[in-house]
Amino acid sequence: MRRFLIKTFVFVAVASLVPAAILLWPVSKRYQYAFVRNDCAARSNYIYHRLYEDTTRVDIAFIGTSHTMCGVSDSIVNSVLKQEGIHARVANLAICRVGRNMDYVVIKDLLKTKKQPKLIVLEVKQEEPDLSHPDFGYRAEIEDVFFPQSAVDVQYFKDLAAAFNVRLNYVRDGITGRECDGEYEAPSLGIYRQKGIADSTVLYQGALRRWERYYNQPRAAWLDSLMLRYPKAYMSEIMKMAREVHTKVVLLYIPNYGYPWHKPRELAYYRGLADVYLMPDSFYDNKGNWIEDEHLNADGAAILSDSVAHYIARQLR
Amino acid sequence: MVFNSIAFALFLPLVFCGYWFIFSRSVRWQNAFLIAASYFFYGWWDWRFLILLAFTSLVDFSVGYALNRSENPMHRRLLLGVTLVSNLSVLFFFKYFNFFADSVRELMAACGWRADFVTIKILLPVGISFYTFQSLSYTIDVYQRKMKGSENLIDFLAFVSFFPQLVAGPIERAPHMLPQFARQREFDYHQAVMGVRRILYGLFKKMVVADNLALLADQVFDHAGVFHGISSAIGILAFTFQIYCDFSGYSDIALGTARLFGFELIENFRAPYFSITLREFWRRWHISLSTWFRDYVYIPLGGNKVSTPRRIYNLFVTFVLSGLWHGAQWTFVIWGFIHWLFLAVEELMPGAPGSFVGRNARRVLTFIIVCLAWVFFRARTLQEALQMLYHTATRPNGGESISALLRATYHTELFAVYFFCVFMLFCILEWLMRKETFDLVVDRMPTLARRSSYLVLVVLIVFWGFKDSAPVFIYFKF
Repeated sequence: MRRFLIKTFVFVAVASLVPAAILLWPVSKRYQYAFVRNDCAARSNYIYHRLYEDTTRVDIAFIGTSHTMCGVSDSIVNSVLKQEGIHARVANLAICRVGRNMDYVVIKDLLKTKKQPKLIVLEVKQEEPDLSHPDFGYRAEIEDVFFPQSAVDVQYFKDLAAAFNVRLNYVRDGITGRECDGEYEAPSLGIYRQKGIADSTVLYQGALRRWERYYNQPRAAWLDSLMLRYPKAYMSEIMKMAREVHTKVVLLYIPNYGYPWHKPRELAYYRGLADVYLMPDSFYDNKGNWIEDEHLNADGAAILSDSVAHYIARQLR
Repeated sequence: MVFNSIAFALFLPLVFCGYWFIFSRSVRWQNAFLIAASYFFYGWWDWRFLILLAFTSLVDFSVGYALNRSENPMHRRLLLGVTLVSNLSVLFFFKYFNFFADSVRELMAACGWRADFVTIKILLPVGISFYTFQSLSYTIDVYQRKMKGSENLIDFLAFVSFFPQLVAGPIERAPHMLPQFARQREFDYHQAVMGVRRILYGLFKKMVVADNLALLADQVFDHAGVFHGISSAIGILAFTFQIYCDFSGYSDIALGTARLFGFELIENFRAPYFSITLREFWRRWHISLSTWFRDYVYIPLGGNKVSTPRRIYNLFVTFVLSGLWHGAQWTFVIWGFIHWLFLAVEELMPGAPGSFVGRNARRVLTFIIVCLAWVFFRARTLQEALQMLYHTATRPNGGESISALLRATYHTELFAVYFFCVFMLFCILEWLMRKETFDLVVDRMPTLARRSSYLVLVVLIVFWGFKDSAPVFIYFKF
């Protein structure tokens, strides 16, 4: 038995070198951003293009989820800032799905390209998302996957598997001569920034669903505190990275429709990190601003963009 | 839980350690632990399936126990009836209810009658065809006095639920397996090493060969109108080897895993595609199932000891049932029918050719017949199967080219070239194993070559075997 166990251990150790080598294989950012071919693929390719192919600077970067994708129009922000006498290049680098670690990845990539943003506008929602972004493993650097910012990472192996998957495919495609898909195309925002107004039933049901799932049955305080360590560790790291390059960070609150308290649950925590910009309650309550319970429509985006642009102008003066 | 999953990769070492380090002192405790592990393994899919497994096991154990104590022929026949009814009714309900309801409805509609049968949304329990047959063979053997019924419930439950072969065979026989559960098992180094080798080779066949051939087969079968002639034929060939590698790969993993626990399962495949006749093919393909049908259907009907017409009729019943066993679809029945048809021809024209050319020509012909039958096995409908065959045969230069097929499947032709090299490597290995067992072939290799081949297999499994969504084992559907 001992001989068998030793030989099996040696075999497994040697065999593990193969996936280990793949995990450590350098992969191009282009490939990483183009790899996930889901409904967010165009958006991902756009972000890559804006960071790595478009050489124009990024003075103001909006980072966040689809809430920011839908809720902020960089062209409106640009033109308002121009009116205020501030010439700045605005880039909306928000990406679908939720996960604070993805904000970290995008900001890290942004700062690596030395576009030197003056200001990062980081989205916050009613709840701080405590899980890993579904695409984190694909886009992050391997050291960020191996060593997440917090030990409280319930999806560690899932992210590791994603990191392995993208690198394996990169090597395989390299060997077999398959070209990287994902030519740059203007990001398709699908239903977003449409002129429609959400059906009241849709808004109500979305709010009700969220209420029953999250607010009516709150987690135990100790569990809440434990799970929040994960995203907060990434928040701290984001603030640290921004400080190192003298980039200011402000937080922009864009919740789902129907959150009754009109401010983030972690407001005190956020205010300890940076300024938090909140729209008036009436903005969030106005059904005319929503295309469905998760996202603002074009009108809502216009109002928010205009308002936040003026706020940014004050920040930059 | 499938064999080629992270969950199984974690499950197996834990069970291995528990089995040999914690429970090895007592065979009963070892068997009890195997039961727990097997039920966990099976319940991973759906815990509700466990009730069915337990029910089948308990009914058949009770029947075997009662048969041990009964000499009355009427009583014994009654007990046999109980086991047949309970096992077959479970199988019928879960697998065939909707099929027969729909078929009867269609038949009545064809005759101008309207029938509104209720069809129920029934979840097919994984492996039900396998463990039901295994358990049923036990009670039939006890009834026929080929063996005494087991008096030990633990041993019997372990026999029925043994996880390496629970969901897709081999369908073991009680006289072969039960004594292995009854005796004390000692760890055998060589047996365990052979087990690991077999698992590795099985993973290679499934993850590298079968899953990549599946891409090609699916491309052709799912777009039957697009690919014609040689492209279509390539798709059929791809499925022919896919199903072999998928199923034999599973069997290899099952055999290898069983060896890690000191058990020997029966070989399920012996290079079937090298068969000269269809008769030989059925002695080499899914051996556990074909021998089950031989022993419990064909022979009771009279087997070979009857006139030729009767023999052909017996074969007909056996192969139609065999087709039906694979699935509740007419295409499976037709697949069985095609095999019967050519077997009947062989019955009427016995004797394999003696010359080298004749034998190999016959080998090629048998292979072609098997491939053609697989078209019906793979197609979703009869119409789809006939369309595939029509396009293959009648439009040799039509449709998309081979190059287009390979690019559509593998994105680059270079991938196809590399995979073809891997496939040729596999064919060479299978050629070497056509007359000898896997264990003998590997044992005879020089140590350096053997160890290098392990590494090559691991590299191939890692590079070619991991996909975003790999196809499940084909025989899990049965």
